[in-house]
Amino acid sequence: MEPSQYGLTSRARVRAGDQDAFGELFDEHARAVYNQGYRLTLNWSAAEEVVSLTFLEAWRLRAGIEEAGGSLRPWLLGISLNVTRNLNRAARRHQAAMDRIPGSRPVPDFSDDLAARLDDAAELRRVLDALDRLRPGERDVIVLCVWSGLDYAAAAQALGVPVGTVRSRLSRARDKLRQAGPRASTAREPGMGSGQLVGDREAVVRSVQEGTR
Amino acid sequence: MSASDSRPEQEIADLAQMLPVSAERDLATDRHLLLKEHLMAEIQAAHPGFRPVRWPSVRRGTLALAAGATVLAITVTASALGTAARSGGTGSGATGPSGLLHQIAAAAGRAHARPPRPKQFAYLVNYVADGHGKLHEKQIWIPVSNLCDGLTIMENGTGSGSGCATGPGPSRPDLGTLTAYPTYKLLRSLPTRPAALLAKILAATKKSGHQNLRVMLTISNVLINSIAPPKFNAALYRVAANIPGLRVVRHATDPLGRPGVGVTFSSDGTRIEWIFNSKTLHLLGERLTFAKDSKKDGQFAARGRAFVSHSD
Repeated sequence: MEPSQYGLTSRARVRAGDQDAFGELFDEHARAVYNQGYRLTLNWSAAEEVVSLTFLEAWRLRAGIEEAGGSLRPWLLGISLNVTRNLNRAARRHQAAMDRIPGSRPVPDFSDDLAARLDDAAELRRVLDALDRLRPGERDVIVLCVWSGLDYAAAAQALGVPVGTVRSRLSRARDKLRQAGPRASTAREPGMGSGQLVGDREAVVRSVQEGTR
Repeated sequence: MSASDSRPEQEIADLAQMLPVSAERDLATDRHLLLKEHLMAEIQAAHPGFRPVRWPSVRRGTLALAAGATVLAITVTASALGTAARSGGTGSGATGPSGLLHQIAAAAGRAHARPPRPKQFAYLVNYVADGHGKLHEKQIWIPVSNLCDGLTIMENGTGSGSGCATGPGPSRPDLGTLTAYPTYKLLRSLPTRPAALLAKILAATKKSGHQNLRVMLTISNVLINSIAPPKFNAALYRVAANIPGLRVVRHATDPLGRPGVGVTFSSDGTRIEWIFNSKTLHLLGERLTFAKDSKKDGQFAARGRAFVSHSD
């Protein structure tokens, strides 16, 4: 498939509802969405759900793609953040479609490095706990810039905020995490990380576990 | 606010160190394929808000007129920066309008031509001026082979469109017309010898009025409101090259402000200006002015076009 037949970009073709272009989009970015989904849910099966829901949402929202721009990855990762945060709502919206996924369980992981993976998960949980100290907006920019590798401009595009906001959020997040010290991940200070900041991610994980049945 | 002067890379590196994550992993191939297959089935079933709308029979006449009046432009592929382009760009002073149009025809004929599948749609993104000269994006979908499959034209998110006006059914497909929205199938069926094509154009525009003007407006319409086979585009320019009343404008800009070389046609108080990229010689846009009725003036710029797939 020529990516720009008659000078039309992949972005424009997705926007126009070109299914071939959408399939290419999936091939190109599913992995990034999958890993971002895992890091926020700590659950590979939930991460697959995030992949499906993100692309279903992307298809639904494609008319809102701006005409000018480069890769659609920031746009997808932004949608994916919202999907992960509101997994229940997204799953409800696409309930019928999600019910049609055949064999919705991945093959069980019996590999030798299972223990290592569990260690990874434990480490990642500590990291997520540290993130819970931050405001949602600060966490979002960390997920996009630090983990998913977007630059400031792309993260700004993904979140629909000015670049300056991305910069100041990252800067604030770094200061907060520094102040919390090296044991930031395990020691929780009173008065921080309470309320919606903590609840948000846990709600996601809970709902994922319920949702997977 | 500390360290506000630090560079982004440093900031991200600091954060990455504080918030380490394990390496990425791939979605297993079988899962990737399964999820993709599921997704593709779902978006086909969802039938993406693409709804062919019936077009009242009067509407066709209106649109045909409007299209003729507004006129068009084409961008073809950003392909070969041909040598003709070079000689066309720099030689446009030495070359007359007819020679330039022949070079433009040659460039158009060399464009990538991947024939569409019969069930696809020609998708065009154009900018069209409203009555106040302000440009608006216009998206057009035209079935490749049969207007009765449904034609949807969307502008600023709102749709209007056509199905079959009257008559034609599956046994008698409506291929569109040269003065409205011609289908690829129609254009492919037409001759590419200039004299034969000119006869077809004249036959399709039987109205009274200045003959050369009718031809040029019809060519403009096809350039702007369709995706034609490259050889057919080339033939259109060769027909135009033989029309009297052409001039070259060495430095022109299209309605979006893109610089290029212009070819104008004036007749009977009406002026058509096509603006081409001076390197690729692909059409960028067009201006149309009517001395007698400025309300019919039109501006047009092409942003992109492609054949796209839709389920039906």
